[in-house]
Amino acid sequence: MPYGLKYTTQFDSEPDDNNPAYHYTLEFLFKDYAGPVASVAGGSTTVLQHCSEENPLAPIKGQSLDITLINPGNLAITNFYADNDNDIQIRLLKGLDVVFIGFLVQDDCNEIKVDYEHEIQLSATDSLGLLKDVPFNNAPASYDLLYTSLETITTTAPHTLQTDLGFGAAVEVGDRIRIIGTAQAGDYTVSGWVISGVHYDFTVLEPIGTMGSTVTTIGLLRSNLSSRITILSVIKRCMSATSLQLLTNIFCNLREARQTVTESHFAQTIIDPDTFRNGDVYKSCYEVLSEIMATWECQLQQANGQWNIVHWYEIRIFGGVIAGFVYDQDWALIGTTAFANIFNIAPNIPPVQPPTCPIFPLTESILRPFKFTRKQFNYQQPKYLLKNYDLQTLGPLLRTYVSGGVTVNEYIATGWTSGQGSPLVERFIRVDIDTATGTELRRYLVTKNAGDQSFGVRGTAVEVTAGDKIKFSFTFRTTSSQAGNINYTFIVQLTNGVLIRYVDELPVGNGDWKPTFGFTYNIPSGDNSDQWHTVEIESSQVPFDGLLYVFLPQATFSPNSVKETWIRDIRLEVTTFINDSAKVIGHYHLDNRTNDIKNNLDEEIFIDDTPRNTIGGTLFMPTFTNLIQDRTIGWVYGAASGPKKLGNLTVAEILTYRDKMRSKLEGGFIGIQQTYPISLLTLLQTSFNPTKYYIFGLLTIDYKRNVFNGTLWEIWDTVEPALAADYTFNYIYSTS
Amino acid sequence: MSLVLGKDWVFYAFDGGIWKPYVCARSGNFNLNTGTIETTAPGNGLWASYVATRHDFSAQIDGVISLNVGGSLSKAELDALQIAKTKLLCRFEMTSQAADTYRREAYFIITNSTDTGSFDGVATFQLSLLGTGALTTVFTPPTPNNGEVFRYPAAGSTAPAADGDYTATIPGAAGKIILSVVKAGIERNNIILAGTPVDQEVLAQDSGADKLLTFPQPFEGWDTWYALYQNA
Repeated sequence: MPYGLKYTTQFDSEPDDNNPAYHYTLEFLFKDYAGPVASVAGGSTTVLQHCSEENPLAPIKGQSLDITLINPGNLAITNFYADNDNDIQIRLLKGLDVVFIGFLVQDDCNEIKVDYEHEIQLSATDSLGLLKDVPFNNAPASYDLLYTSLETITTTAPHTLQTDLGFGAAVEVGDRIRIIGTAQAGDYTVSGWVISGVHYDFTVLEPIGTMGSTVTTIGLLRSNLSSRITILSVIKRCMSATSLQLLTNIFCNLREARQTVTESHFAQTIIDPDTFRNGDVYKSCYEVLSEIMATWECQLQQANGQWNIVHWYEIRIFGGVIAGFVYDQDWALIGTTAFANIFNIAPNIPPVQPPTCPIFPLTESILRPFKFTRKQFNYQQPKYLLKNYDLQTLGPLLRTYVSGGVTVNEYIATGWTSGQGSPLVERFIRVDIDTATGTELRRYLVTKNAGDQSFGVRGTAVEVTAGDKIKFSFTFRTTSSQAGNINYTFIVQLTNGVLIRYVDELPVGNGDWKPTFGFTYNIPSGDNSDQWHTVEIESSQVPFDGLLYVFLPQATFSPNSVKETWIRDIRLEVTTFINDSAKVIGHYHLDNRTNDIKNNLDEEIFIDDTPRNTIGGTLFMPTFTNLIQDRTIGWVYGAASGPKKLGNLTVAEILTYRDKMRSKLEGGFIGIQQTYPISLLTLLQTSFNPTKYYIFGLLTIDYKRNVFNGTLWEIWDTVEPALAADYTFNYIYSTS
Repeated sequence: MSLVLGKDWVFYAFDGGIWKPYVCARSGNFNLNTGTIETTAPGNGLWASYVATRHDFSAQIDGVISLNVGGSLSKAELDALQIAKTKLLCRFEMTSQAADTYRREAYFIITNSTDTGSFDGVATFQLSLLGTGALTTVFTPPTPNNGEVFRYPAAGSTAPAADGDYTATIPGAAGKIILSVVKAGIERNNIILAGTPVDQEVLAQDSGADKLLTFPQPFEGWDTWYALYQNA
């Protein structure tokens, strides 16, 4: 939706010996506004730009604007009220160049209630902080638009959207329906539906107004988090929640040794989105971005109207200049750049004032060094290593009916749609709801009708590595009585595209992998298949790297449309065998010095090179070997050789930085413009510490007074010694 | 010297389409302030350094309260302007004895006014004004007078004079200060600027770009003359 300029205020900065007065414009753009532009008066300090994150190397450094306008009587603060966080866009321009772009934050706006002229206070942010309240799976770009079509729809407040049967049949719970045009335009998340006559009445999570039967274009969006994606795609999805489409500069030249130097490693490194789950929910976009930035010791910030991802440690590696990659608003690579925004600070010694000089008093303090840096990575199996094992992801509704006080809903069994045999045995997920209370009573997967009994229903592939052990379990029963003694053959299959092996029931608890199938399960005499039975299939060590498939049975003999098999409590556990041990639960990277220092960094990381594809947070290459996706192994800087573990490089970077006492300056400075304007993307050098280069922690910019203040942290000293430390990589073992 | 007497330091306000003084003016002051930021840092040694930042200015005028003087601003009118929060265009003008003028104009807001009445005197008032926006200054510096004395005509020459003329002209000397005129060998240094010269006086007046000298007695055919003058 387009933004229209509604209010504007302008001011000139105070000139000095080296800087003319610069003209600034602060623009207020309102979504879908197409009226006249009003010029408003700004306060004595119209705008202050802040970064309140003290840590100069924080993974994310968001910024805000404090805005002061004059209300002469007709510019009440209510003129700046909006329901949505992205309704009012703020742009600060220096001349024609965008210095800051963000959105008005309603929480922090205020004015005194009087009849005479007075100031009103507004606040805007670059939206990075707001990502803390956006779950990763709710970011706009976490959905793919499958298709659009011209449909007749009706909407009823507060949460009902009606479509015809044709469109509705393709919808799954969790999908979004996009209404294009009309007063109800927007994206609406489907939480359920009822079929009424020739319509689907969808219940949507977002509030919707009432609109009579209308012909308009609607689209179907589906979450695209079910398969591995590039890190760049993850970043793109999170950043889509800022509602700001800006150019992005990636100043980071770390790459996996097999990746090309012509594109950012973010675009060449793959990850499973399930890495960013926190139990049953996804982490916030802010957490996701923080984990990604922390993995490569990068920093995300906005400067000069562009997003920047900066690997500050490369300052010392590349002598003060970091090459970068430029991505457009759609995150497509459009070129390269180089970071060289260096500010020189010198004392004001008349008759000539330098471009930037300190304001009295400027203070200096010290940052203590570290004795060691340690990063620990704990191995965890991704929650949905076996997709939809808990039957919570429901496909399109197949049918619904009421039986004995129970509403029965039957859905396509997402994740369990493939198998072997022709025809495939019929399968769906059934959810029984108490009609009176709406409470879910039971949920299970149903198989019935003709098809292969053992191979009929197949789960999604799981990549396993030689040496791993598999434990697969499920509970089943038939609706028809079948007295024991019954022998079933259940299938757990391993293939690398050439060899196929099946888990055998013997030895018990350590089943062999055999070329013939499969796992024999017995229901003894006196028992009956119409009772619930739990099957546990435990394998011996996997003989080769390959894809693991688990199959669910059609356990009814002489199947038909009435006799059913019910399956629930499906579980898959992969025990990795690493370093000749099944007790490895993680690893750590340690860089250690011999100095007597009682200061260190010991932190947990969530993304790393790992020895197994089944470990959550594993980094992958885009390539495959024998059906198995390749993992990242060794990393280098730019065109260098001699790859090392990612964790090896990052702990060394940190310890090199904290290898000696570092200088910290705190104070204000006059002169915000040199070759480039001052910003978080600035490297500062002083004449009184000429070998040291600084970056910002806190930063406040007063554009009108040509003044900035904050904390400057030494990041690089050109005469610093090389790091003398010992690197260690070790596995962590379980004590049980 | 180009002294400015106190009475020639005048305040005007632009009101009703004309510049008006206030009544009855007694005294006034104008304050122009420039802000500074100290920039002392390593490298400055023992010496502090500063940069100038922005300017602000204010004024204060005192007067004796008079309520009915046409063409000027009385206390009542000044109060009304203050209550109306009127941004007043004001002019502070000073004129030197040598007729040089220096003018400052800007917009002001009346921020404070105080009336005082005492049983043993006239009522007085004091007004404080705060400048807003830019200050405009108008001043044409005079040509510097370094003490040099000029002679017309140049030494060794004589100026023409017609028999019976009462006047003589110094070309291009308008605005100059005539120090003395020698006519028929007699020096006359009693130079008047207006009126009718008598005795040994000489009337010196600007005539276009020239200086016109008028004598009480006419030239006689054999009279010569020259003048000594300086830049103002």
